[in-house]
Amino acid sequence: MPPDFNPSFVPPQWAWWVVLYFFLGGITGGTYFAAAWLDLFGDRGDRGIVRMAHLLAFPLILLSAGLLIVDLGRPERFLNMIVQSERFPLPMFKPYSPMSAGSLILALFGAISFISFLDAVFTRGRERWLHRAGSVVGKVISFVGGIAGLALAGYTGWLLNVTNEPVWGTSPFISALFVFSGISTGIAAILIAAARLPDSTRVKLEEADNYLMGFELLTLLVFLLTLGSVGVRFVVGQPLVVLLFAVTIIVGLLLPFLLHLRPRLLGGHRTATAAAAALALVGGFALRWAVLAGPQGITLQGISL
Amino acid sequence: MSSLFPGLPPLEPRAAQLQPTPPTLPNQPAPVTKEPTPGAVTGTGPSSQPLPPQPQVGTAPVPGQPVPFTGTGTPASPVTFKRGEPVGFFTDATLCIGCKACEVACKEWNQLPAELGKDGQTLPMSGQSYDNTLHLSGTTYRHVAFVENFDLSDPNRVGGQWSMMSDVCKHCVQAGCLEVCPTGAIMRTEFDTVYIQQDICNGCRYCVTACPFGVIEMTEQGVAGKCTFCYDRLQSGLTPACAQACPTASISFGPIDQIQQRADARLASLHQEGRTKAQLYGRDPSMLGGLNAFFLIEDSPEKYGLPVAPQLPSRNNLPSGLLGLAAAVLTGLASMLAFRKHRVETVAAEGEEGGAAHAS
Ligand code: SF4
Repeated sequence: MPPDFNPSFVPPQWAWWVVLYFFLGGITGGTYFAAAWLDLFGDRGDRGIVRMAHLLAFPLILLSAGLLIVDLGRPERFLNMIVQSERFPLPMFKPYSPMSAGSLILALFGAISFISFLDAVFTRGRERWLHRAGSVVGKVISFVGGIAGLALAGYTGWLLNVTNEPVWGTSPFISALFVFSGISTGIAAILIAAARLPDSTRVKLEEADNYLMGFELLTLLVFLLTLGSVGVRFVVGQPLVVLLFAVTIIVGLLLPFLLHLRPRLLGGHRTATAAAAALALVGGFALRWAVLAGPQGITLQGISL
Repeated sequence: MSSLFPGLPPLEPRAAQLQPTPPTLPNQPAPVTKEPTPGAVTGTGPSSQPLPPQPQVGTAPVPGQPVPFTGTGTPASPVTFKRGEPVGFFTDATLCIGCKACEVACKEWNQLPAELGKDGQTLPMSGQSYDNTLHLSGTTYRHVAFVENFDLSDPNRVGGQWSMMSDVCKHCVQAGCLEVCPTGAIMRTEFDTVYIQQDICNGCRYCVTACPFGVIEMTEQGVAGKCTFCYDRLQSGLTPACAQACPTASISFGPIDQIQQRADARLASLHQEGRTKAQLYGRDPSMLGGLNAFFLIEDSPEKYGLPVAPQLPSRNNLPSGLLGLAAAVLTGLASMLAFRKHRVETVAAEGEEGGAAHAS
């Protein structure tokens, strides 16, 4: 019987830079998305956190893009993904190629997060200019940026699925998995970074995170089941990958959920929130590593398959 | 130019060496068009069945002159093809003797380095096959696979035999690599072949994941590499180097409809001889729109390292996109709910507090 996967596959050698990029890209998208939704649907008490997230998102996207560029075989030609090298400045865009679409998403997200970043930097201590309460322009920017944040968090899963690699190309649930995980890790980053988090904002963020972790757990299980025999060979067959998925589920999803429900286990809200968020980040990293290692076998030393 | 070595002809610059030999040289054999012998069923040569008419040698391009509209191949492998007309390779594995002349000719023409071992000095021995290059790569555009059909439990390997096949990029009509390339470095040429513009490629490696045949690998220059179908030779009206070098005519080159006819005739001939396992791989449009480099094999595709049902990566665009979209909508709604629900609760609590204060 022929195998369920294409035996001619060649791993692309996407190792640590890409694992880090996928992880950080998810956090970045999630951070801006949470800020946008707080801006759109939250209240006055959330404004400080919105501003802090805006201060965070733009440096993070710069760092993410840096990781992506470093990983290229010819980093100096990274612009060829955005503009047509021979017909500058015509844009280079192939909507059916997730990597091309991803470059556009990165550019769009970069532009929006830059505007929000400037707005946050230059309005210290006063009411913000663009993102002030009730500003229609601010709301539009938040809405578009929030959508771009969702796209940034999820397109990497779509990109992996549109390949002929086992595991990545096997189950289409990978894109949904990355959306939930990315936004959840973005919220975790805000919960860690915010030194003074109003209780009302914390409760909102944790509640949204609980939903997302539930969705993520469900999607992860469906993803693993739909891998079928490919999963047996490329997941179950690699102890490291099994371990990483276990870390994702136990450390990254179940424990934070428990801490959100029972903060007393760690002595109170403040510690429990920080610990749950840190664990969620560990889980998000383990998930990206596990998925990228599936057909490539990335160990700490690099690609091993 | 004078010779550096007495007794040897002067060295020519490489560009001059590359010019095709004019076809009028007196010592060139005249191209032979075989007349089919009625009812003849002979050995395994490609001429045992009536073949489509073989073209005559025409005029070769002249240096400095505009590139001709019509290619004529080379004196050793004459073939007529036009610009804008799809061309292809028909690789007949039943004729391959594993000499690797095609692999070497390709390396020579494209100036590709040999693949060295991990030490960067010595040529590696595969240790698992008489073939030491093992697969296509960024610097091995043609690879002659040795399919060892041996009973490994028999220490004397009695009855073992090889199947040889010269593998290459399939120049798919629906090419996964071309589809996903985010820089536009991978393009389709006027000959319907798939070509990587290495001066545009930025080394993202997405094409590596997309090719269903595992053809593309990275070069030391950090860009993707694969068979160019000798685009430079085609533009000068020449047969690709591998097809020209093949001593058994296992690799045929020509306009795609002509080599398809040739392949059909060859298959019918083999079936007539009772070799019923022979099959064409990639000749029909059902496989990725048809492969411009297709094969005649005499066993299952897997035996030759070919996937049974290669697919385009874009098959996943819709399901993956829709599921991602659904997740995004769910995330948006759940977050809205979480944020609004809390607001409702706060407002209600404030209302209660306000009411209590008012009552007191
Ligand atoms: S065989 Fe692979 S590299 Fe060649 S055209 Fe098809 S998809 Fe591209």
